[in-house]
Amino acid sequence: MILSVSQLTKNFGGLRAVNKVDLAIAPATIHSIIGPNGAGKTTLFNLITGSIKPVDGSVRFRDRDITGWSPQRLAKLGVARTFQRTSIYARLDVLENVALAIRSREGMTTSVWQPASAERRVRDEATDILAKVGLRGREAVLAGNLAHGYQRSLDIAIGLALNPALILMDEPLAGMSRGDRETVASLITMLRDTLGLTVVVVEHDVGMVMRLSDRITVMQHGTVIADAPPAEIRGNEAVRNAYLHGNFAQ
Amino acid sequence: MREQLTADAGVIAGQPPRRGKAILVIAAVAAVGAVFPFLLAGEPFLLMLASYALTAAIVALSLDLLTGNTGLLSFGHAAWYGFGAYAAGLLSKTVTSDIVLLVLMTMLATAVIATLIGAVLVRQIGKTFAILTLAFSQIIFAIVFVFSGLTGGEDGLQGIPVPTFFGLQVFKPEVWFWIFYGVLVISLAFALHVRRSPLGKAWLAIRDNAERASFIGMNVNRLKLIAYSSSATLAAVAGALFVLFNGAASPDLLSWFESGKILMYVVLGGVGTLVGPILGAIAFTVAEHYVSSFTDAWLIYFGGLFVLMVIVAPGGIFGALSGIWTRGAASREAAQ
Amino acid sequence: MLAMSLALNGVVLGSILLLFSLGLTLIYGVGRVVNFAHGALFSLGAMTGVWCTQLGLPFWLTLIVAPIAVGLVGVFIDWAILARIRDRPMVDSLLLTFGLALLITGILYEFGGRTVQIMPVPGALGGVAAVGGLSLPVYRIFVSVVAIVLTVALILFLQNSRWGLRVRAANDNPEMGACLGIDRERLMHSVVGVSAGLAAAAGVAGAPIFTAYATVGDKILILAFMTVILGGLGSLRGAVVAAYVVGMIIVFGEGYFGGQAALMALFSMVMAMLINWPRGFFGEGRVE
Repeated sequence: MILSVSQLTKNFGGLRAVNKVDLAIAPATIHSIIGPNGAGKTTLFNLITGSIKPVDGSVRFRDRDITGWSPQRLAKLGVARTFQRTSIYARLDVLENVALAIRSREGMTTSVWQPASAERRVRDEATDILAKVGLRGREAVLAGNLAHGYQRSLDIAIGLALNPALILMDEPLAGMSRGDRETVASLITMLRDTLGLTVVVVEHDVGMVMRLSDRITVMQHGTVIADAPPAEIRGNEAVRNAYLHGNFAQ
Repeated sequence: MREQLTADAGVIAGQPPRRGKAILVIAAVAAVGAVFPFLLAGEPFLLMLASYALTAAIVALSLDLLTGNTGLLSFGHAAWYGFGAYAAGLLSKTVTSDIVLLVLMTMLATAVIATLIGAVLVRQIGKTFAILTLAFSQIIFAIVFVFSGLTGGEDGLQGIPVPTFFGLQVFKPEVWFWIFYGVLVISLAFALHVRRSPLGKAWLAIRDNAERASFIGMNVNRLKLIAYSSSATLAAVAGALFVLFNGAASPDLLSWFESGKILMYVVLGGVGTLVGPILGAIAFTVAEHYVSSFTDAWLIYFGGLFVLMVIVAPGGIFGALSGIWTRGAASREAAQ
Repeated sequence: MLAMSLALNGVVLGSILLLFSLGLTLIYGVGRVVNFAHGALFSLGAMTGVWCTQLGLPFWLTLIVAPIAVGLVGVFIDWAILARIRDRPMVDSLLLTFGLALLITGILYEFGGRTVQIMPVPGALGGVAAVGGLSLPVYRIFVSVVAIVLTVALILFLQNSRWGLRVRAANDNPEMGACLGIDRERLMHSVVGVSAGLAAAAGVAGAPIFTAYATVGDKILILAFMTVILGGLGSLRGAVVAAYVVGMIIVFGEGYFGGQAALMALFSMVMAMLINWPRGFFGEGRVE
């Protein structure tokens, strides 16, 4: 298991947003976490990526305990994330967006003098990464001027620049047109198949997830109610109930 | 959210320098500086005013290093300006009169203390940071009075000896002008260079979106601290040079009004433009002199002007000008 | 004995500080404006008191007229100036109110604020009260009572009136306030007016103690900022506790170590507080 979560718990006020959640994610798979609104998916996601700290339980990445690590340390370890609201530097060009992350990975953010050769290496690598996510030829475009779908691809490219083993995506398909969703979905598949990455996806949209995932965890009221391959999830009674009730009750 | 305050840096970052043009610019800047004192040969007072204006320009540039690069707004920058002045003044009375040594010692002391203080301050953002910097400047102000035996308290620090440079006394007004001018030009050149360096781009990243920056592994607080310390250190250099030039330091240097003036230079000039705050400081200092000579109500005018600027031109004079310039260029292109 | 007498004076300063800080908290809570001009409004209140006295108004009337007049100035400021930057980032409000502070100070300079003006205490409130070996000027007791009464009145009004309901709704969540159909412009006019009036009330009531000049409000503004940070920005009960804590620190510091050392101690405490409890005494302040 590349990522394992055990008994993870977080309260907000009196509410158990995440309650004793266990999760095991195998390397080089696409693992999705789904559930109705308010199921605790996003909280779980933020607990794993270091935005908030759990009250109980642990998160392990490979053989290391990373519970409560800051985003910055996680990035150094090779855990990347993307954002639900695409998070890119709109005022910088596409290449520079990725170069920033490469320099950060290389510990060059505080350097004032940098040999031209080092800068060239950074730019070459950035160009390569952009080519992988289908942004070849758009290096010089201002990131803010990219089409919506391409911005999501750039968000992923920034994550890739960290040389991650694991990439966590917060609703990568949210607010996308049908065409863009296909693009992003094939990009996610490519991350697993070509780059051998482990991808954890938190998604609201069940249809695409069924097609995409190797394994799916379903959450409701802060707990895991099912954890199985898509085919089994489809026939699961509890899941069907959760979605029926969830959409009305929450 | 900070778009309005700093509408510029995207343009400045990432332009490749052109060597031939750069040499030309350097030569022109050096020539202007070298000749300037001779243009004012018969007007010793104007030359002094020019030196004061350049001091203000260095302080304004130092604040823009912080505010323009990281978006942190300091309401107490005079603390570091005044700290540099008192530190250099006290050192020159007790340790050495060598101007280079004095400036270096002041820089070192400021860098150490500013890093310690800054480590706490930069954890805060926005209004809390602004309020704390204001409070901190009040503390430094208070210290001057607590140790009035050493600092002269209300009367200020008096009797600072004329500094020397390898044994030669530095007292000619034109030499002082060249010193201020040189420090300003070198600081500006360095600041522009840093803008293009990895550090400058990382600053831009944490200013535009600190959350994203931390998720790509940047140490946001450390980057802010570097900006804070270097900003404080440059302000202290300005203070040190000022006190050696002026021969005395007054606690007014540390007042919150002084901090407000520095902030005004930067805002009126255009936050994040580096050149704008310098122009703002020079314009403000010269205007202050002339306006205060025919009316003593100048605070009303500048307060009012400041209010007006924030409302109508939050990008500052420089921002407004470059906006007009861009629009002009666009319409020229359209016409062709 | 010294300690007891200092404690009494701490209550006096704390009460004035509380009255003054409430306006600062209120205007921040509703409009997200950090008002650097609040100190200038204190000075304006004190100077208005002096002008009223010079015009021959009795003290009691001055105490009512000055806050109302400055409150109207506050409404005007909000309508004419603050309304222009409503949807701008918060830093713009810092800058704007800072300019405003300079403007008001400049105006006060032109109307007698360059020199320290004494505001006489009316005969009825003169003299010194002696209680069990402790003595405190009667006027200080009067000021504390006025400040506490005004504070309690404001809090009751916030909790029991329609206006208070709107203010609290906007304070908790500006968007929700808008959803409830609250006219934000008029609400802000009234909040800035009340806030300015409170600052002026503190200024004019404090004038016989602190005297009156153009920058008399500067020091109390710094203290008030420390108060709202210690209490947590936007937290009312935090401000109440913090005002007295700050009052005590300043008075005891002045009594035992001198005034400037007291400021240093206060600042160190605020720094330490921010490291450990950035949300203030009750953990409910805003940190955004």
